[in-house]
Amino acid sequence: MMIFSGRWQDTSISKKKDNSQDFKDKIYFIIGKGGTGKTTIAASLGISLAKRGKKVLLVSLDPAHNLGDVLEKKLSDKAEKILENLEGIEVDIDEARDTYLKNTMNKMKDYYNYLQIFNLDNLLDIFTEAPGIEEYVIMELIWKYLKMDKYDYFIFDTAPTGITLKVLTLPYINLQWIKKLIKLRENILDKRSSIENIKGPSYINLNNEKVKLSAEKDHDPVLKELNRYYTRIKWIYDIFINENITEAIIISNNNRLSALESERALTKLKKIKMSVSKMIINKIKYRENEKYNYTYNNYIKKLRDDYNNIEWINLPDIKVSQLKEEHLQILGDRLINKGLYNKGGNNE
Amino acid sequence: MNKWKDILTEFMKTEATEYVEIEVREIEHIFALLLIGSFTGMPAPPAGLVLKLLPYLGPELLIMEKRAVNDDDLFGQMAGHFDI
Repeated sequence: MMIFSGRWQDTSISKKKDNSQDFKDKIYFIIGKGGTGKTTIAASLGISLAKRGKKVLLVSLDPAHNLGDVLEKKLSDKAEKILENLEGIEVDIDEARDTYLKNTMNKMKDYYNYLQIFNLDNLLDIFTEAPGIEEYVIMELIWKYLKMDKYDYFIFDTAPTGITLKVLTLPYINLQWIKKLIKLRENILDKRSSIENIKGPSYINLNNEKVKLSAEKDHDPVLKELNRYYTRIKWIYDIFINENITEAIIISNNNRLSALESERALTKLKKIKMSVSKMIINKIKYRENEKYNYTYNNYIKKLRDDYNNIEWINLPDIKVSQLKEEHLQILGDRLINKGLYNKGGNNE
Repeated sequence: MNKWKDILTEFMKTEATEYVEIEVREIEHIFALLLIGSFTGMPAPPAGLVLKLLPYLGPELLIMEKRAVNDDDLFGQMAGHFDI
């Protein structure tokens, strides 16, 4: 393998600065098993923050939207005003995916027009079903929203845990790939340019058209695209792992299944260094006539022991199907004022 | 006389770049293989990343294709390059 020695240890990538520093907003990801109450909690946080004068964007990334139902307001994939300072979006993932793929295909047409048999429109169908595209599109959407300047808070009511965790790990995985590819590409260009210095430029025959093989880092479209993409992904990644900006809030119910799912989420988020600020145990059933008297499920108990550095909040089962705006605000206020419901503690 | 000089220069140039050319070719293949490796069952990069790069990869894919068409005896070729 001796021929591959040398410039592999290039460090130019790690020198690039952390560009999340100029991002002043705050981001909450509400994560949890379906039906645990993610949307209600997202909405209540949003309302509470908006009433405090913060500009809030509430985004539902869940394909089975019910943010609009909770807020009793029809929402779409454009930001709609819900209250003063509060706007909401229900993302249309299918539509976003089609737009994303069409943009890429159009870009491709410019470069591959010499390939007449390469019917790009047919390819679109194939890519639509490609694994991983959905997470990608969600990440692009998150990026797009975070770039909107007019908000102070972004609250993402997320899709089912599996997809969400994939989306949140995507920047990390992408960065690893891009770093490797950039190194390789630079290595190729270095070598090409040393050959060019001696023998002159080399060409390749693209459908009877002579195309010069790029050898300069400044003019290579592949390296340019890699660098451009690196900058974008690094920006998201830095924001995601900055605990002053991004907080994940995990919602669980007091039962085994949602405890197990929360544990998976906690492990994965730890791996990608995203900070989890609150663990909310929602819909706790209190014993009859005894306020604050309840028993944690054994799985929840174990989880609490393992993750006691997180703020744990217990919320009662209030047996109301539709909370009014003022109730949501009270709930949100309590969550922000560090869980008044916690008083009872774990009374076993 | 000039003609001889040209031939000699050409020869020297080829001599000087021979090994780098082999190296760059191999790295080009690795690069392409990393991107489209899923065809051969290799772990592939995230789909979105490949889609982002695909518009610019025309020449690279052509290099790869030529290589696939022209090469029958890779080991023999390598041995030849390194005088084994």
